[in-house]
Amino acid sequence: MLVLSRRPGQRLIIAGDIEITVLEVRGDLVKLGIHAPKSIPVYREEVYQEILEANRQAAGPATPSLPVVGSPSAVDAPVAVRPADLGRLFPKSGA
Amino acid sequence: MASHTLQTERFGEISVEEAYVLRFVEPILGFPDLRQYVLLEHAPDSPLFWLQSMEEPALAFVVTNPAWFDIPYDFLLPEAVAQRLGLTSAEQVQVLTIVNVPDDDPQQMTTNLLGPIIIHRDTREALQVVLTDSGFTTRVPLLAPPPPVAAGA
Repeated sequence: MLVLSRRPGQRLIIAGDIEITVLEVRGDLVKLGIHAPKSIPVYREEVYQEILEANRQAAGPATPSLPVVGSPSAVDAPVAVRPADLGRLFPKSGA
Repeated sequence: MASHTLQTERFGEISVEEAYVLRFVEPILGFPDLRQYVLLEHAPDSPLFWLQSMEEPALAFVVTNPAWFDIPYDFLLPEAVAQRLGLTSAEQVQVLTIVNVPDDDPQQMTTNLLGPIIIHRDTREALQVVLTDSGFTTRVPLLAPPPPVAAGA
């Protein structure tokens, strides 16, 4: 592992377009500022691991039997759409 | 229109028209080499769908939208994600969350609200976003526990 020492206000440049600035050091807390291209996601490690683990687990069993659940109720939340609205996104079975 | 024929472990050989291919501009975390998926119905009117990898026959996630289970799920899409997918209006956004179905007890299925999949409905480009600091978790039960059986019944 490359080990570098930096003081508050000092920066690291990675691959020319990722810039990490040490903003503040207080006790055992270090505040970092990160400039990176939008195509480079930046995660807190523990959150990244949590999502990774959840994804892997969800992909786990080869043939889970799904519980039978009823039709979804209508909702008005802006991010929500009914399955019927998914029509443009998946091929209808038997079509 | 061009169509793809793919082998899947769960659904056998299926044919997918190009217009239904979902392209992940960033792979689903943990599956770095897989970029193309297709949504498949689980059953008519079911709120559960399959997100089948077009590149890995064995990989299919169960996905849903939490709102179909009356689970409140409102968040602000990070600006960087909107830009990455070229989203300019709410109507273009399709949100799905990955469902974890326990092998031994499907009723206990949970969904991951912390890392939803965002799809641009028109371009069908997608990515999994991590809603840092949202307070959402990766294991939210989808089904309410069944009512207790009355004693002596």
